[in-house]
Amino acid sequence: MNVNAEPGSEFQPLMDDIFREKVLRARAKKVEGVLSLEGFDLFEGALAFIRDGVRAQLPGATEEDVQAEVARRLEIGRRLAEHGFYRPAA
Amino acid sequence: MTPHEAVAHVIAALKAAGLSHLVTGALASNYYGIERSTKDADIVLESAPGDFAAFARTLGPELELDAQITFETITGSLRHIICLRSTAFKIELFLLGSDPHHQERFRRRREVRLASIGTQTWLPTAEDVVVQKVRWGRLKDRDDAQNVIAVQRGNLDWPYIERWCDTHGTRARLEEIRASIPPI
Repeated sequence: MNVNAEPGSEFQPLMDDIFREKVLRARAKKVEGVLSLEGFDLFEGALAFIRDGVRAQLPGATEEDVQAEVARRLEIGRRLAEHGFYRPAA
Repeated sequence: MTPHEAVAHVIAALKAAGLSHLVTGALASNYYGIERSTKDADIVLESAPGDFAAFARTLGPELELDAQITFETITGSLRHIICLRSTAFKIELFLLGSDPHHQERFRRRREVRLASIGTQTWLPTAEDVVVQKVRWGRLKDRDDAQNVIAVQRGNLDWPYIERWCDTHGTRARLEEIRASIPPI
């Protein structure tokens, strides 16, 4: 979430400042006419953290076990995100 | 094959099959808004019955077409999923349906170059990204809409966005998102 503090929250000014900085940074790095695929690299980075978390929680797990657990967690995330949003076609 | 290569491969296959396409979803909102992580690429394609099956046969061994076809419940768009084997990465292909906004979004698409690969592809306009994100209205969609509106500042055609949000009954949601953006 970007700006979701309760109205009047003491955190709202801080959240607004963070959001402003993100927007200004995004405006500065835009290249007109070029579609970046950086979102995939960001996901790869996040995936590395998930793998580290799984390894810490499952000491002794093989890389195959880690991959399977990461896939299971991603599938849970996908189901939550898609719940009620997609249905099987007949 | 990396996700970057998989997207380039699918776009090249679509072009070879003569299918017009449009990159939507997080990649489109990243272009106009603030870059965020995504594990899939959403592509809308215009295809006649039978074209899709021929296209799918050209995907090659590293890309697997999921047998399960789903539809998106708000607009009824049919979705096919292509998985990049041994990764979490997916390419979601939506068949362009009769939804009036989707039709107009496709007509208004603009050509851009895919970074690092150099191939040409197509994106919706910033206005159409906002309309679609507001229409879906999930938390991540609201964030994406807020980001696009904030980054694009005075560049948006507001009467166009408002007209579609009125049509979709999402004008209140749009106004709530606009009001949440601090002065920048």
